[in-house]
Amino acid sequence: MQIEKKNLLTPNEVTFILIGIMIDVTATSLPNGMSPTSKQDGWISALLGAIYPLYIVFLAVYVSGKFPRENILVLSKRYLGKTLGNILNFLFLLSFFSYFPPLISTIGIIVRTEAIPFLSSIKIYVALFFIGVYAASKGIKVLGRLSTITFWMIIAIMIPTISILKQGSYLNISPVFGTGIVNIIKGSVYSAYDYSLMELIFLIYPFINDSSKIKSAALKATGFIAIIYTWITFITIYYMGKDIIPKTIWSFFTVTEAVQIDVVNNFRYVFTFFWIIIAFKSVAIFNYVCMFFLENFKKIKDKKVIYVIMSVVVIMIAKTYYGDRVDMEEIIKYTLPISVIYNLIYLTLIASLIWIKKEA
Amino acid sequence: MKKYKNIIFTIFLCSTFFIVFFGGEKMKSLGVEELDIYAGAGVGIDKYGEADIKYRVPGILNGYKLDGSAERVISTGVGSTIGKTREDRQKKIGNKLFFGLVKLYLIEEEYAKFGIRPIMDITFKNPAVNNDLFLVVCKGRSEEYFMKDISGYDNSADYISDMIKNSVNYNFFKGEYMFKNAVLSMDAEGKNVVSPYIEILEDEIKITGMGVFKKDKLAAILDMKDTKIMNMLRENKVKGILTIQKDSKKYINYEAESKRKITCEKIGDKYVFTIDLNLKGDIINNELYKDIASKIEVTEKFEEDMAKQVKEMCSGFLEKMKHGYKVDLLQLGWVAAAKYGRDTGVDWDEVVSNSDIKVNVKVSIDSVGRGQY
Amino acid sequence: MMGQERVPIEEVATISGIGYDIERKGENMMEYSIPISTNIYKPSGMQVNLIFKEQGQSLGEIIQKRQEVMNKKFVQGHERVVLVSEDYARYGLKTIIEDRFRNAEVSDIANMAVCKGKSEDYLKYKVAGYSNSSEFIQGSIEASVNYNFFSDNYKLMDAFVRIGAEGRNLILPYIEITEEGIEITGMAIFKEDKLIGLANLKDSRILNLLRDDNVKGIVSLQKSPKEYIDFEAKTGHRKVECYKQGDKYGFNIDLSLEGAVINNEMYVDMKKDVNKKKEFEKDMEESIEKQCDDFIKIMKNDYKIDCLGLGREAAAKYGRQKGTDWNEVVCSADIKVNVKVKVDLQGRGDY
Repeated sequence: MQIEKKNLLTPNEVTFILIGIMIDVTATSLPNGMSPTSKQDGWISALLGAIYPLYIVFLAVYVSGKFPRENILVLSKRYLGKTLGNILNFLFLLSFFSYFPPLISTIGIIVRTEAIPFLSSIKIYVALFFIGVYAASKGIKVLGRLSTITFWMIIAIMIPTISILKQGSYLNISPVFGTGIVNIIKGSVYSAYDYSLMELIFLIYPFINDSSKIKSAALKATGFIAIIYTWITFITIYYMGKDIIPKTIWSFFTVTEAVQIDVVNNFRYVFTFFWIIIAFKSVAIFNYVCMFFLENFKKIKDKKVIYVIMSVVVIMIAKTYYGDRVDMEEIIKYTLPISVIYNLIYLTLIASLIWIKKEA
Repeated sequence: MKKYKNIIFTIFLCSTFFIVFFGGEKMKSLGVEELDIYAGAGVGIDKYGEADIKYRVPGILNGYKLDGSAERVISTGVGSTIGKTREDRQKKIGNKLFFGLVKLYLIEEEYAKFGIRPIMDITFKNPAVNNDLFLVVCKGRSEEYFMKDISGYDNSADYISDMIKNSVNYNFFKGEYMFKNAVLSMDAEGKNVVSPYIEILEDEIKITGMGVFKKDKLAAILDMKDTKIMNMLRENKVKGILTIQKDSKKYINYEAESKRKITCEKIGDKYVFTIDLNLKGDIINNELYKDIASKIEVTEKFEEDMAKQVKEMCSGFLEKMKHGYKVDLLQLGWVAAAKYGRDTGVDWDEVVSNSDIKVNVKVSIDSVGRGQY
Repeated sequence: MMGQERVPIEEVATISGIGYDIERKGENMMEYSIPISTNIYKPSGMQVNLIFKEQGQSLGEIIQKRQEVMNKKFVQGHERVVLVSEDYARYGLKTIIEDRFRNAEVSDIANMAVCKGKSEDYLKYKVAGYSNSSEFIQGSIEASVNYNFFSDNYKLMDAFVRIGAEGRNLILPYIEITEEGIEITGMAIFKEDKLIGLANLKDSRILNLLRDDNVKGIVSLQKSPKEYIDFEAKTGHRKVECYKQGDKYGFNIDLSLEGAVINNEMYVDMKKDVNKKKEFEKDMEESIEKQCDDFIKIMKNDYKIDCLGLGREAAAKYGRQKGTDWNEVVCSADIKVNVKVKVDLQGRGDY
């Protein structure tokens, strides 16, 4: 995709988009995933989980260093042949697509549980897609700007939670390392869902206006996400303690309820509102990337129609299979490991081929 | 052709928009006038034999008449589950029931002993309920408290919550007796829930002690004397008045803020807890220590005497706690678990009751008022 | 509104509630009584709630008397509630409907209810927090839709429509004065325009659940006082399949309930374990199906009429007005209820 220089992304925008791709409302249940295994040391597990995106970044920096203007889809076709490349690319799309329905389903469930119970999920999905598709159709520069805004929203959400330090106790995170290194490492596996999708850097890096800045942009993004996730887990354990976290579904939400700001009556509504805006951003990015993938297979003339079909398909899948949280978790139990492992293999394979062929 | 496509597309989008957002179910959002907004709720149980127990939930609210005057209204829902009490209540009232602004749960003593898990669960699940509502244990039936009219207050629920809020000025109350505090303490290892205990004495509602829970059941009710000492040892940065009294005319009142630090050591199988209490405050009434403002020896004598008295009070209380109540009233288990490991299957109530607990008290005076009378 | 002079509100009386009472005074003599609760707005702004009661031997007589006694202009159309005493309901609502609809200004969206005893007692009753009891009774009926599966079809208009229609019948809320005040204690079941049965609240909930679409209520399963689960559910559209085997009719009623678990002390880990969730849904379905079957037995044996509107479904399929007595047909038909339960939300966690 040829884009003029002025429509390319600045390194900051790349950082914000990468952050935007990875972070969404499921992060509020991040502490819940690790709590049974890592107990009071869950925050250390959350920090360790950053290894997964770091590895992806490492591969991406290498590959983008060699081919700064060509994304992974093009490269896979070049190194594996058109047919095999297309097949693997398509599987890559599917693996990425498997995160889409749970995303909208989760924001739907959270909005209806925490804020407006009488809203039907369909209304929420349609609203998400109306705005998401509109933003996606405007191009990557707009997505960059949208991600910048949501980046600041994330900061706005996190900063007030610092005041919770007064209300919690260091006793809740003690004894530090008490659960043992093995359990801490085992626990970090549960952060995989929230650390995933950094893989999309392989599609994004050609859009940067200065290719030498990819490494710093990606590392900044990873670092920021790692800090946010570690903080979320830390403050949740610090405030609630490991015994109470399993009683909630989205433990970080309970933490935000304890925030007391003078002007704001109940921080929970502000919090929910921000997460909705952040959800718009996620839906926009997903739509854009899906379209990007599809265009790589075959040039599409009528994007609008494809967007509508995509929206309907995703909404229907979300409503049918991911309707309620328990069903959703059942499916993710299987799709997540498959996606992660496939992505790792796919990307490592292509990076290795590039490395081997270069050496030869 | 392209133009037609655009038009059709726009029409499709607009119609989808309208159908989805304005069709389907009517979303009724109700105004305040159409809701019965409860200020307080009581939770009690009525036993009809061994297995037949009904939950009784009286709710108190302000009914506002057309001419603006307020009248307090009590309506009660009864049912075999708490959800059923809502259905029972709805058919007796003239508006949709709404518990989102409840300030107070009055938990009847009998129900507290039975186990308050169901009311905790239903409140916990519902994000619309105010997390800052107070949990208070009352003696007898909660209706008696709701039926009391208190001058200056629209209803007694408002009065009781104010009373609890103001309690932090005396008797070393912490004030963290809200639903959200109970959520964090009830099932946490080494922690437990405490709630103010109220009674009607001489026709007035008064706080007469504290109820202490073991998990979800009420395990002990402490009188005011024990409550004061428990609060001093259990909480950090709390205020109260301590007195040394020789006879009815000779006494000294000391208003202090206490800071406490707990450390835990394990020697063999036995746990040793050290509680360091640091009291700092003002003399507000002195009929006992002459020249306390001017002579440093008198000041130091007072500080020594007060420290000794407090230490004795604490020791007496700790003996009672270990051998009488046999419950870890001070959440020492929480400190121990933080140091020596969690989920080890230890019963902290038992461990603490068999442990050594040492108290060190330090007293200092900030000011002695404007002089001596 | 033609021919109406406009009068400032301070000088008029609005009717807030109307009652219909009846007393048998002899072999063929009935004495009617129509108490009216009114709000009178005085120039000083104060509201006065007055009860006017007229008695007579025919409704027309009473209405005439009423107009003579009132010295202020009567503003109709604001009535909130029409209360029919149980005795009058058993006698028949036809005359009431005629009286109400004779006048074009009457509010046909006033709520209707049947009361135990005399309606006058209810209109006079002082309800704490309300200026007059009619306001309370109407509010109570309107708010009842939030629980117990009550629908909002208890208006004057609904009575009018359902009494005459083939295969349909009327049900109205039944209220009593208990030690807690005025309370809805069940449903009044009508055959044509006559009251023939009263259902207590337990049966009323199932009656409502089977009868109407999109109604809300709480259904529970309980193992012991502390181990139970409360499910706040809403029904969807009721599907009735009607079939005929020879002379006998059969009905399959499909109900679906979807909602939120509001209190769970029974199915541990339902928010994590799919199998536990499915187990709950199945147990709930069985429980509701059994309650429906029990009620249908009562309907067939005690009330002996079709209170579920099944006749209407059959008439739509097999033809109308062929002289069929749908009550008889439905009461001797095979009625099977299938319930589908779906858990949608489970709140923020479990305690």
